[in-house]
Formats: sequence, C-alpha cells, structure tokens
Amino acid sequence: MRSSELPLGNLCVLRVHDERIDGKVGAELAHAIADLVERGHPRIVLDLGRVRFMDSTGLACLVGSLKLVGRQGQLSVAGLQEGLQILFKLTRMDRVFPNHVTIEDATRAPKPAGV
Amino acid sequence: MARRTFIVESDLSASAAAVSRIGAFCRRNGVSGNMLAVIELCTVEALNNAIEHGHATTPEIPVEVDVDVDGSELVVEVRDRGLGLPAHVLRAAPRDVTWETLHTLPERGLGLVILRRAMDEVSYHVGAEWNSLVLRKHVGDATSARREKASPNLRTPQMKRERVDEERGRGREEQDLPAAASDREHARDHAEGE
Repeated sequence: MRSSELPLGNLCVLRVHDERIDGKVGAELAHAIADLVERGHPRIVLDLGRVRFMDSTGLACLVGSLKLVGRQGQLSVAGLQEGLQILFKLTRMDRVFPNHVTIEDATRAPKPAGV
Repeated sequence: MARRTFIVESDLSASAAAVSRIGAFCRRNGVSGNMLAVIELCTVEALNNAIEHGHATTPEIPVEVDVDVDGSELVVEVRDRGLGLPAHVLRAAPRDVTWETLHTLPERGLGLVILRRAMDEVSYHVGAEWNSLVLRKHVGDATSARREKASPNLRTPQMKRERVDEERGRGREEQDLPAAASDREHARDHAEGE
C-alpha cells in the first residue's frame, strides 16, 4: 500500500494512494492506522479520494480499524468516490464511519465527545 | 441480447482483471454509471467467494462466469466445482450497523451481504458437477441512473422494503453470507453475440 500522513491540527490525515483496496491492501492500511493510534493520534481521517474500488475484504479491514480506534477516538473517511459511497451504503457502514466530502470539511467537523 | 462466458483462474489475484473485462463487456452492452459500479462490485464478491470457498483445495480448476445482458436485465452466473457453501453462512445475521452492534459484527461475511442488498435476486444451487451463484439485476434504466447523481434507481426491492421497515420502526434480519476479495484474469471468452 502506498500512503502518506499529514498532521492537520488535532487530527491526522492518512492519504491512500492506491486505486484499489482489497484484503491485502486493506490489511496494510489497518496496520498503518494501528501505528497512528499507537503514536497517539486519536482522530484519524482516511483520505480515500484516489481509491476507485474497494471490496468487502478491504472494507472488513476498515471495520477492524474502527473497532480498534473505538469511541475514545475517531476514524472518519473523506473524498469517497461514487463506487465507495455505494459500498458504504450497501453495507450500512455509512452509519458508523463519519464521511466528509473533503479534508477541509473534516478539519471543520466538531471534535467528538470523549476525544 | 449478449452473452459471454469468462473463464477465471482460481486465484484471488486474478479476479480484478477478470471483473474489469466483465465490466467492459457490460459497458459495451449499455450498462454504465453507478449501475456498472454495482455490477462490478457484486461480480468481484461472487467470484472471490467461489475462488476462496469453492476452489480452496482445488485451485487448478478455474471458475466460470456467464454474463447475460438482454437490455433490461443483467444476469451473472458464477460457477465453481467445489463442495458448495456450508449452510451456516446462509444463516441470518444482525442487519443493522450501529456503534452498539459494531463490536458483534463479523468482519467476514460482508460480501454476501453486499450481494443480497445490491441485487434484485440472488440464488444459489448446488449441483452434481457445479455450484452456481446467480445474480439478477434490472438494468433497463442504467443510463438514466448515471444522470441521477442521487441514484434512487439503485435501490433494490429489498432496500426499499428495509427503508419502509425502518420508517415503521420495525427491525428485520437479513441473511449473512461469506466474504470475498480481489482480482486478475486468465481468460478465454466465448462470445455468443454482442
């Protein structure tokens, strides 16, 4: 997986450069998220603007990361292309992943309670 | 009417390319926009299930995918020669996803949830020689769906029923099935008229 980190105020943006997230890339992404949590970043925004396709195994890795971050932190997504929006809706993950249209929106979002 | 059979190597790394070819075939036959994205997603899931579960111990046997587009309906049939899906994967699982239910949600099984929610009909048959997973989707309005960003046409009958149930405050359970994965194709296509 190719990704880059961008600390922005009280949150950290993890930008994914791959166009596809399957189980293999998803596992690497989950590892990168766990690493950020370990380094003390409670609020993480995944910039998925370049990702054109994600399958259920890739999404399952994100669900695992969401459980890891828990309610003491926040894992949100930004820049979802249409295919990913459909995936999140079909699986109802749009109910548990805060979804920002842009990274700027994410920076303006209110800090969740308990973080 | 257009029909084509795709032969796909039983290797998860083969499914992306295979689905890309299947998507190109669908596009040539009038499926586009969000509808095409849904078909590609569901085909990946079905294909990966067949590779992962059907041919786990027999990777030398390829998976066959038939795609049929008749203008208003698209049918994808994924066939494998494995033992067939175990019954437990078809059992009901909690449908709703909330923070309260998240920790109990199995991370495996999202693939078949996607199929059931995205397709108009999903059926599975275990035969003497082949197991067959058949996905049906009405695509007659695929072109207009592309124009409608909000994509209301993508709501399947099941999604519409669930929405009504939600509005009525009723819970329902939906079937959970096994997970799936990624891509690449090895391929021999049999065009039967495009």
